This record gives sequence, C-alpha cells and structure tokens, in this order.
Amino acid sequence: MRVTVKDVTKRFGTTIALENVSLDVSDGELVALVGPSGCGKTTLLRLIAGFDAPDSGDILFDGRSMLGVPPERRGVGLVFQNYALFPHMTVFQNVAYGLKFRPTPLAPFPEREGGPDFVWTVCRAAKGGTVSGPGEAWRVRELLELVGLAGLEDRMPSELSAGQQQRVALARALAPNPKVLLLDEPLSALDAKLRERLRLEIKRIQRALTITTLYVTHDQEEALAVADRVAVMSIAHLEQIGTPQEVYNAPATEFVARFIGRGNILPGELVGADAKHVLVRPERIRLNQSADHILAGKIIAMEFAGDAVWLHVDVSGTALIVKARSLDQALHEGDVVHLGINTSDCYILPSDRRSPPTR
Amino acid sequence: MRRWGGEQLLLALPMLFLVVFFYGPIANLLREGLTKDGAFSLEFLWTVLTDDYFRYVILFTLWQALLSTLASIALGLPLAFILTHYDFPLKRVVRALTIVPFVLPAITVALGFALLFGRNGYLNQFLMNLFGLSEPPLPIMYSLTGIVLAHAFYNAPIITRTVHAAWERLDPRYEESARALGASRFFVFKDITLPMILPGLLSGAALVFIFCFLSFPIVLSVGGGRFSTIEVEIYTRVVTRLDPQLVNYKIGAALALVGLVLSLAVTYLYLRLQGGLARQTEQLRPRSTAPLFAGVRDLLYPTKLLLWLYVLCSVILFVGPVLAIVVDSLREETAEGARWTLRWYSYIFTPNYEALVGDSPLRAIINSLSFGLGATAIAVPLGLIFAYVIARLRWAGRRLFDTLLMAPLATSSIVLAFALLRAFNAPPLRLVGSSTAVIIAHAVIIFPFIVRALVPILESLDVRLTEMARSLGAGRFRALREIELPLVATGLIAGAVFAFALSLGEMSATLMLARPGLSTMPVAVYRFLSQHSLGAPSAMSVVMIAVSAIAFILLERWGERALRF
Repeated sequence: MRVTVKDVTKRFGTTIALENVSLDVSDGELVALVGPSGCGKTTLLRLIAGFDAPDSGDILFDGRSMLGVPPERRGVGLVFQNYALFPHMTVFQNVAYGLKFRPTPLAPFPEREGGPDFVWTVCRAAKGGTVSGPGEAWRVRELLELVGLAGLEDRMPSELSAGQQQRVALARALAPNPKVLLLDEPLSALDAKLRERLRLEIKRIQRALTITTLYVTHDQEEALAVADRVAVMSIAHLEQIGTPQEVYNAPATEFVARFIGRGNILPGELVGADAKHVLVRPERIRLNQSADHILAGKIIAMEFAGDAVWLHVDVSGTALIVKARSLDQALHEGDVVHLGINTSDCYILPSDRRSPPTR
Repeated sequence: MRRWGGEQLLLALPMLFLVVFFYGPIANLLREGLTKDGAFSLEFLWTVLTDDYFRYVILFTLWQALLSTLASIALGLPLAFILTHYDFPLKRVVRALTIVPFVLPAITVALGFALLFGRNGYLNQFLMNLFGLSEPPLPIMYSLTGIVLAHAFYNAPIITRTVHAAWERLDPRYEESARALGASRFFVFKDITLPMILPGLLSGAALVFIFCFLSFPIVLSVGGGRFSTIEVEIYTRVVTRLDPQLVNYKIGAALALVGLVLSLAVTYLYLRLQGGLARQTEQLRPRSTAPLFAGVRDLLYPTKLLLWLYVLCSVILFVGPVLAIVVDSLREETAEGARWTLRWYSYIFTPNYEALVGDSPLRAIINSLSFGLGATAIAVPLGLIFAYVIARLRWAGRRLFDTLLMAPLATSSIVLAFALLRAFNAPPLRLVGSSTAVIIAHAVIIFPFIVRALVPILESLDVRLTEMARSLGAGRFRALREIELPLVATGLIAGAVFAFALSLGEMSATLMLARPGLSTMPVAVYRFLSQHSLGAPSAMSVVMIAVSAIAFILLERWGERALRF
C-alpha cells in the first residue's frame, strides 16, 4: 500500500502543528520520521491513522483519499510508545482483539495440518463480538511466534517485561494484517541495549511482511539504522526526505545537518556560490596528516568512546569536533594538534530558506 | 526499619479522641442492644430481624438506597461523559460544582424540593395554572419518588466526580488502539472504556449507596414521616417516644447494630474499590474535546439532541431547588397578594423567641457558627496528625489506619448521637445537654472526611524535599515550617473550610443532642419545615448556602487535590 501525504496543514488553536507537509511512502517501504520533540511528527501519524483530520491537504492510500474514513476502516496497524496494551485482557485477547473486526488471511504455516486458512469474522459484530472463529487461535499463535513470544498467551500485560509488552503491541497491530504499519516512538520507553536489539527485530519483521511502515522517532541514530528512507522534520515542516546516507552526507538544510549526526558547520566565503556555510563531518578530519588545508589547534576536551575518541579542538577561537580512532596516538588535553581537511570532504550547505541567518 | 519517634507519638492524640468519643460509646451502645437485665441476650436483635415491621424498615432502607444509587448513576453518568468529551462555556465551574453535595446541607435540599415539587410548590402551581387542573399533577413530595429524586440530586455529582476522574485517567491511546484494530465506537466503549472506568463507577456507586443508606434529613423531610428507614426509626424511638422501661433504647441499639453491619460491609467494598483504582503513573496524552454546542446543526444528530435534553433536565433539577429557596426567601403572602420583601432576613437576624425552633433564629445562627468553629478546631489538628501518619506509612500499617477510619465513615450521625447520649449521660463525663456534646459529635462526624481530604495533599508532598532541606542544614522543625507547611498551607485551609461547612450542615446528630438553647440552623430549618412554615427557613437556608458557596469557592481554588472521594 502506498501512502501519500499531500500538502497537509494542521493547526491546533493558534499553533501550527504541520504546514504544507508532503510525503510519499511507497509500497513495502520503511520511512522513519525523525525530528525534535514537538515538531509535529506524531500529529502526522495521527492524521494518517485517522484520529484527526487535516485542515487542508489530503491523505491517500493507493491514490484513494482517506479523508472522512474513520480509523477503524483504514486498516492501519498502530503501536504507541506506551504500547496501550489493554490491561484487562490477556496477551491472547489483546492480539486477537483486532481479528474480531477484520477477516484475516493466514500465512502458510508448517504445522497447520488441515487448519483453516482464513479467520472468518464477518457478521461477528451482530453476535456481540464475543464469538471467536476457529482461525483465531492459529493467527494469534502465528503472530506470537513471529515476535518470539509463543507460550505467553495467558499472561496479563502487567506480568510482562517492557520488551515483551512492546512485542505484544507489535503482534496485536499486525494480527489483522494491516496494509500500513504506524509506529509512534515504539522503542522510546526501553533501555538502550534492548532498543538496539528490538529495532533490528522490527526491521526484520517489516522486511518479512513487506508492509508499508512509518516509524516515528526522535532518535536520529535509530532512524538512520532502521529506515529505507529518513524524513527529517523541524517545527511543523518537512526539511528533507532521503536515504540515511543522503541525509547524513548531503543534508538539504542547516537544520538537517545539525540534527543528524555530529558535525562542524563553518562559516565560509565561497566563490561563485550563494551558500555561506560548509559542513565537515568529524570523521573526515585527519589528525596530523597531510591534506589540502591544515589548521593548528589545541585539544580542550576529550570524550572516550571505546572504538573512537571525540576531540574538541580550539582553532583560533572556533571549536571543532574531530573523531579519531582511539588507537591512533596518545593524546592529552592541552596538546596541540594539526587538523587536515580535504576540499572534497567539505560539503557546501544550501542556505536555509526559513531559519534566520546565523550569527 | 522505621524509627517510632516523636512524630508517631503525636498519633496518640487522635487515637485517644477516637476511642473515647467514638469506639467506646459505639461499643457501649452495641452492648446495650445485646444484653437484657445485664446478661447477654439476642432477644432484641432477634426481634429486629424477625418482626415484620422491622424487617420492612430494614428492607426499605436498602431498597431506597439501591433505587437512589441507580438514579444517581443515571443522572451523573451522562455529565461525566460530557465533561470528558466536550467543551462548553463554564465547564470549569460545572466540574467544580460537583463537590457541592459535600458542602451543601442536606436539609436545604429537602427544603428546595418541598418548595419546588410540593403540593403547593412552584412546579405544581405552574402546571395547575397552565392546564387548569384542580389537583397537583406531580405528587413528588412525601413519596418514594421524592426521596429517590432528592437523593439523586444530592449524590449524582459524586458519580460524575468519580467516573470523570476515572475517565480522565484513562489514556485515550487505549481507545485509539482499539479503533485502529477495527473496533467501532460502540465496541470501543463496550470492550475498552467501560471495563476500564468500571472500578471508578462502582466505587462512586458504593459511596452513594452508603450516603443514601445513612441518609436522615432527606428521608425525614421529603418522605414526611410516611417512610421509615433504620435512621428515622432509631430517631423516633429514642427521641419522641415515652420509654419508661428503656425498651425502645434496646430496640434502637439492636437496629443500630444491624445498620452498622450493613453499612460497614458496603464501606469495606468502597475502600477496596478505591484502593484498587489505578494511580496515574505515566504521562497521559490529553484527550481532545469537541465543543458541546457546535451550532443549530446539532439538532440533526440524535446523540447531540439527547445531550441537549439531558443538559436542560439537569439544569431544572439541580438549579431549580436552589433557585426556589432564594425566591421563597424574598417573597411574602399578604392580604393583597404575594410581594417581594426582605422581612424574612430581618426576622432571622433579630433575637426574638420562636416557639417552633425553641430558640431565637439568631441564636441558631450563632450556635451553628460557634459549633462549626469548635468542631473544626478539634477535628482539623487531630485529622492532620492522623493523615500525616497515614501518608507516610507503608502499605501494611496503612491498611490498619484506613480500617480504623472505616467505622466512623460507616456510622450514621444518628447512631453516633445515640451512642453519645447513652455514654455521657452520667458522671464522670456528663456531657449530654451541653454544647460540648454537640461540638464533639460534629468533630467525630467530620473527622474521617478531613483525614480523607488531607491524605492526598500530604501524599503529594515529596519526602525528598524535606530530606533535601535537612541535608542543606535545616533542622526538623525548620524544614516543617519552611518547606512542608508552605506547600500544604492552601490544602490545609481548604480542609478546614471543608470541615466547617460539613459541621454547619450537620442536622441529624444535632437534632438528637439539641436541648433548648442548642438549636442550629439546619435544626431550625427542619422545625420550620415540618410545621409548613416557609419564608424564614428559606432565608436561613440562603445563609447556609452562602457559607457553602464560600467554602465551595475556596475548595475549588485550593482543594484541587483534596476531595478525591
């Protein structure tokens, strides 16, 4: 399913949450929507899910406008940061809940000898929504195996660890076979190690199901790691959409350059160009090696990061950040170092349209 | 391990107070109901449980409480829904007004109902004039309907309060997840919303049931003596009947035992439900609300139309009685017809003897104010100590103190007054007939409410602030004075005002303990009302409503966290 957001504007009272945002997610693609908190990324997700309506613009699924279609008929899967697992239902009931309302085809399943291949749920509403079809248990099993939680069907959400809750939330969202998966900061409530593991997990599942996915996060590192394409938002605006490499190496605006990764943004007078700033990524700066330009500076602070050392170097009043391999040399605060920068490693930043000129 | 230090020793004061003026007298009363000629006997309890009349009284008490609770739910639930989901002008005020039942004296509700729904009440007069009827078309006063409606008027806001609170605590993301999974609004409500707000609803319903079960002024005045509940029965037996052999005392004590067991059971249920309510731990996303009245187009939607209708009905039911009192206090019948007057106000503020009251109305006003001040001065410091200890205790100890507080909450004012009458009738402590007895009764009655109002305030006080102050060098007393007290000061004032308002509206115990010279405003209003003398009680009720309104405004300002009943 292709999801298209077309010139969407959304206001809450006098504050503008989204202004003329356009975004196109192709079928089976994983797009990470990243930006500082309060930039409107969750609002965009809620518009796509159908909980709010845009003031202007359109939202299309496979070219069909979704305006006026209530959330329960959009066929999206949704995972919230707090998971919102129904606390009064077991894991099984949580995962099976969406099956009550949507007939869901089952994927091929090796053990399913003579089992059903479709969860029939038509007319379920007329019976009060409590009758469970024969395929329900199969489907729930299938999903729990997919997320690696088979056997926990009878647990209550409160008896699960945070990581398990997150997996159940994912299984619940995927059970009715949604065409679009919306993840709203799905890993933000977890600790760093678990986050790294689960984001790979999510990517694996998304690949296996080839489901169109929009992944909202404020963590740029997570976005770069997980996404096919990354959409960077500043307040209410979409700044750039591109592959992780593109947004990192060729940021479209100064905002993107500052938000994604670490970098040195240097003022420069460029001959024949309108731009005034140059981006040099810290790992491109060579330490005490020959290069096109050599700058001498003094180390004012060091951060040890295992495989690397981040050096903060004062070059005649300007602080530059340099990433050096930690094994390179014995370095100390106060040492004078020579920074080598090749012209080819300088990226010329297009001047920002909206941001006020920097001092 | 927690050190049992000076702070905890202070607890002896409220404990002593509870034992001497509550647990002791109540135990003594129950003993009376279970003895005959000094020996243990189940005779009176047996009589009360088997005699057709008493069985009827007990069953009627339960029945009217059940009906009143259902009516309160029916009336209070839609408002909770509206408050949670819609925006409208004065929403803050309406939400705040839901604490009114706690501060509005019950007898004024009875008066308002008599004025509005009585045979000669404004509503019946209006309908009779409109349709040219010779008989009042709405016989609401002196009927079960009247009792139930008055109870619903009084208690529906409690349902609104508890359900609204539960609904606000419900993260909308649960409902949104269900919708994204394909559930329609109906299924979301049935599968997600209802199960999750049910504990709040049940806890509110249990509280309303207790209040209606123990209700006295409304049953007495709106029921008009035709209906007897356990409370009314005890009152009439103890106060109005000649009783040389003390048989009625014994029967009354046995009835008190039965009532106490029943209300304790419901109170226990209530506290369990209350304790089980989810504390708000995570950051909620605020619920988006829609305007209640979006325009004339609303008339096209049946749901909106129903809501409009509900708003209209509830305005009549809630505002009507209060308005009726205000109007009546400003009207008098003369030979030339009715006219506006301030006569009733000047009447109640002059020290003229009034045979109906047994005192001058001014005396009643002065008594009310001084009893209120006295009871507040006793109950607030004791309640503060008690609440402070509860707020600082871990779970096991806390259960104990919650339980200790349960009995006063589940005991009716009538039974308490009865117990005090029996216990302090003779030396060494002969209090009956003195203002001390009334003040003590008020203090005991308001004590559990004060504690329950203060605990959340004190709990919200972060212990780490005190620890921080002390690590910075402040002594224990200095930390208390400069950190803790300023932070809870407004809450404390709100609690004191709440206590004063509760005492001011108390009628039942006062009526039983009052001797000539000790009448209070509610008692005076009751005596006027039972003789169908209007005008003066309305003026007096306006004074009480004014005090309640001041209490209400202060509570709304400062008592935000208190009163999470």
